[in-house]
Amino acid sequence: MILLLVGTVVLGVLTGLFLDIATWQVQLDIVNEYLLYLLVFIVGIDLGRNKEVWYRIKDMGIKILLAPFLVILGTLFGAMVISLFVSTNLMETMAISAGFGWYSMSAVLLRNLATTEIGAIAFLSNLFRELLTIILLPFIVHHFGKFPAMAPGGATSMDTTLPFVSRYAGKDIALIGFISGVTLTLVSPFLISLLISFNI
Amino acid sequence: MAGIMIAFLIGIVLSALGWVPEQIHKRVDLLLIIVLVFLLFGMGLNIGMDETIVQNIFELGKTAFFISLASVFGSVIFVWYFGKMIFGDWL
Repeated sequence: MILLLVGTVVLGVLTGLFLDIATWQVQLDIVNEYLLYLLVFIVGIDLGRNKEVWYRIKDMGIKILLAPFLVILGTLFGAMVISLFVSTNLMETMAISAGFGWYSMSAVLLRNLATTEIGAIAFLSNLFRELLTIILLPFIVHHFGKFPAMAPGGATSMDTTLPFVSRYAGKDIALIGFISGVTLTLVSPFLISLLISFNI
Repeated sequence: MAGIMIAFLIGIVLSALGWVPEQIHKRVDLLLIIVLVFLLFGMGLNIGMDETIVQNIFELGKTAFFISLASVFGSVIFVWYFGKMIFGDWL
């Protein structure tokens, strides 16, 4: 999956580099916008059928939602600090980080709402978040304990990094990570749009 | 931007109410991949056409890497520190 999506972007870049398609820009932008509507609509359908998550939240108590809330605050705090040292400004950096590892969605959304450059950084940054999570999880569990293992994967804790959370921190933490991942997936498109709208 | 949010909400609500045909539910993963491939290819095209992005790709990659590192550690430290206060009783 990751190879297919990354490969698609690389193929697109090479096509854009070697073929002169600038005259098609207007048509491309229109198609892009309608596809984006279709994408968020389908993601919505996918999320809406995840009903068992709401039963699990009921079982564990509403308090469990404080965990994804902390992931959001921590992520944005990290982005705030690092924005002082990187080329993107505060709002751009926070909007990019609000992809929570969901590189495909954050990239196409920010490409549309901001610039191609911000979209490209969002793609790489959130792709790196997924990879860093997989690489750093053993270190995180060793130094911070099992519970914080639900944090680094962000939205990916519900699918791609779920088996890794489960392996290093156990099934209970993986379940919290799953609930957190679904919550972040729900919040991410709104938060990205909101944050980038403050960018002037 | 508002249009995107509305499309997202309509999808969630229709699906949660059970108004989405089973045949679409079964193929939702495939549909998602197809739409994503087109969108990401389109983004790739724009990146390829933009000389400044192509020339600065390593600089952009560096920025991306630091943002992801800060996001990972920001979230881990917040959950570690405040999680102990909030969830300390049942962890």
